[in-house]
Amino acid sequence: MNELELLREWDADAPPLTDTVRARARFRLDQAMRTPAAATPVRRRPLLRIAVATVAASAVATTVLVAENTGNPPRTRTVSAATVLRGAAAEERRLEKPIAPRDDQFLYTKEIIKETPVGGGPSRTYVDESWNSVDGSKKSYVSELGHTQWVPPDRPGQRSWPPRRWAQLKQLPTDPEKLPIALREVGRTPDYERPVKADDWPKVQIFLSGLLRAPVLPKGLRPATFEALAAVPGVKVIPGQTDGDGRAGIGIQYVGPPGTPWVNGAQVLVFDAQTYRYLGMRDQRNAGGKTYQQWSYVAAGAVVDRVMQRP
Amino acid sequence: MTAEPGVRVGQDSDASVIERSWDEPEAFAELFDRHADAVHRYAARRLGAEAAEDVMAETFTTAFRLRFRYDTALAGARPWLFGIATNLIGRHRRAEARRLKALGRLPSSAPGDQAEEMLADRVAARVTAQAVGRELACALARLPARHRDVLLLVAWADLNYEEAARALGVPVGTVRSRLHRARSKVREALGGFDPTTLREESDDE
Repeated sequence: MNELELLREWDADAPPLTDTVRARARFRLDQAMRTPAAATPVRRRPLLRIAVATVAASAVATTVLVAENTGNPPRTRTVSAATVLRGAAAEERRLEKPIAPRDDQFLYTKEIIKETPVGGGPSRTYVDESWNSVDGSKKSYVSELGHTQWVPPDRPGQRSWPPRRWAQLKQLPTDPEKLPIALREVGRTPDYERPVKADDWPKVQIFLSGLLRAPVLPKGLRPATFEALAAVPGVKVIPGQTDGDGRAGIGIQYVGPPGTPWVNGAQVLVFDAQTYRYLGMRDQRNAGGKTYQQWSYVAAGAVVDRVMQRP
Repeated sequence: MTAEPGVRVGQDSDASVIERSWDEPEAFAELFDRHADAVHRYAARRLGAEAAEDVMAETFTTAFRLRFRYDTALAGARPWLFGIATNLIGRHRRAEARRLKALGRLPSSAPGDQAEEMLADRVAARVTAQAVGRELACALARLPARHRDVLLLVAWADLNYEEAARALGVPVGTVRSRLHRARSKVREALGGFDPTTLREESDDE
């Protein structure tokens, strides 16, 4: 094997193109095709599996089988996406603990992803542990599907989503009505007097879903995100979901308007059927000609002093 | 979803798609569906995931903006797209250098999960390549940018000499000489011999 062949075989630790990245890039092209001069590229974090909620068009049903802890057989009741998301917000407000990381610290997160090939085959579980610099000034160490890499500090003018810097997260409003406006105008001074219009929602939805994938958020931001998502047109309830252990849950999906990349897809946020506590996310990934069903959830999140330190 | 490169059975050529997009802008999306994976992979190998997303997305928005300048006598648009991507990567020279230095310091890794899906000889090739990844990274880091561009357009974007020349807007002779020098440097960095001992280095330029 000569040096050219060696180079061809060397993957240089390059991650594969995920459906999410593809959808975001395609969306940027769609925007450019509509208004060539108006595309505003937004840099985002590496390796996001996240962010882009997508949906099966059949997912309009809002009748959900809810197992209630009454000793009686489960009964059917109708819940709306808004009920689930507001319930999730209330539950989050009850459970969340405020954290105040220092700039020189790292946010440690542990995420579990279970993948099952759609065409049959054994499931595989990945444990992704990552350490992100609180103020973005240090190298972060990020794992995705077992693929680890050092991520250099942000360059000047570079923006990520969800923001890597805690200070940027802290700037976001925790008022669910203001949050979508701030996200619509991310990077600028938001005009809270101007309501969110139909064309804004797909973008706002990407940013909201992206925030939910941040394992650790300032107090009040996650509940506000759930409540803001409840207001997004196209958010639907998907009955009959389960978490990774098979417990009953309620799914929430986003169906984008025609012409956007979010008219088809598979991402579902799953909430506890009784308490509406957020449990995790179902998604699909295509790689090597195969499709995998993913179940992912955050198992731990904490503030630590250095990379490789666990709470 | 995405067409295999080179598979054009029952498909319009890239040139026809671009020509159609002159009147129907949305037709350009077809070009994205065909080539997004390849462009992303090239950018990701050069710059890592974060910048690769941006470079890939910007390659297609830039190509869309420049679509009226495309010479539709050229059926395949891969050289054009990789040329745009390479230009965009040029804006990240320092990031690329940092990444190569980091890869040069990291312990060489074992083959990834995908290896198990490959044929055995491909696995062997990959194992060897990953094992000398550190040396390859150091060698690439030391190359002048214009030599690295040529080498990686050939090795990673799979362009031939003529296509690489078109991508970079330079004569084919320039591609040949830059490639020759770049390969020599990399070969030196690997110890001047074939590290796999599978066969002797061939002088097949």
